[in-house]
Amino acid sequence: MTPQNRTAAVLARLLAVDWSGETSFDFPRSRARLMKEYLRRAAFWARAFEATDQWPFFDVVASLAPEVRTPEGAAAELETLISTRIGWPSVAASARYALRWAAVLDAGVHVPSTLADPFEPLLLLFERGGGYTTEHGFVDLGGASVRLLSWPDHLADEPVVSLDPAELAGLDPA
Amino acid sequence: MADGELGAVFKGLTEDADQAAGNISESVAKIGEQTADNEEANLGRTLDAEAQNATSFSDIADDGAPAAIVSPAGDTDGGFTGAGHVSSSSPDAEAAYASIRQSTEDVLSPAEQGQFRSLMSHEYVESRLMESGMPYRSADPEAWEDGTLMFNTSHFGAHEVAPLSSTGSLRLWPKLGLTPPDAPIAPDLSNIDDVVSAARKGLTL
Repeated sequence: MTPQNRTAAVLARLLAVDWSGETSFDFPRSRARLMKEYLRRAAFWARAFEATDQWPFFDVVASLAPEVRTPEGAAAELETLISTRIGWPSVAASARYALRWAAVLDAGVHVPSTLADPFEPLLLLFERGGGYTTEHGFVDLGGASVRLLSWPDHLADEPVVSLDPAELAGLDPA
Repeated sequence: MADGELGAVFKGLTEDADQAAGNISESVAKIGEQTADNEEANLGRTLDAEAQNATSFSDIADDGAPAAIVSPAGDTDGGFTGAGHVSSSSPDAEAAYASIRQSTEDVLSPAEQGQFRSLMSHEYVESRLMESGMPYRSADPEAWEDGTLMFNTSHFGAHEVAPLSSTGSLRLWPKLGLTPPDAPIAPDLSNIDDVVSAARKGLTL
């Protein structure tokens, strides 16, 4: 991709999400596993950058490349989306973090090869029924609720799920 | 919860948002955080109580289900999720909102208004049902898959019956065998007790 392409692509994906929550119950298992995979990846990032006090939903770019900002135009478009369609503060913040992460990739910042893209599982989750809420030790996803344990509990070498669309589709009821 | 506190908050939000002032979203976020904090504190009390009975929320069975997810006996604060929180935070939120209106130029976004309303309706109904003895969520192994609680029409708790915290919708009710009230939930939640009554009737609580 050329510079700015990743930012534009992530923004387009966020704008296309059905944030109403109406379809969240259609993808219970894939959304649950994608959230667990996000929590797993985010735990490694938090440990690597001593940001465990900010885990689970946090701005990895603030530690990796604080000088990189989301391009103004894309940031403004996202804020318009947030003000009209995303009400849960953590989801709004995660959308901002995901867009800034894309800006980091566009800027060519070196990313440790041992750390996986933290926001791709979350973007895929958003695309499969919208956001989430948090309550009482759970991340509520609609048809499923993932238990939010401590960050070390989410450290695991093996991915929770493949991000392959076909495999994700096979997890949920037809 | 004292009658009128919650309604006052929402009237403030819905009537004044177009002319007010302020980063009320910070207030909403604060309430969300306080909810979580309160629930964690209450969970601590639950764990203490359960520890005395040699059980614990952290005792996870092979299927990933907690040993128990129930309202702690003797808790007079209205269950361990939302009632105590809502009761204590509503006046704070109302005051914070009034202060923001007077001092700044920002307003609660439409999405934030809807989210705040949904969260409060969820917490209120959930805690009222728990006061009636309904568990917070089901601990039945059939409702759990690999440590994840799946929506199950046979095994559910007050959390699933309450309006969805994301949208305030009662869309799950038909699946749970419940009949929603004839009238929709009012924007200021003034008829929210009708939802509680309908749930109690349908669940024979």
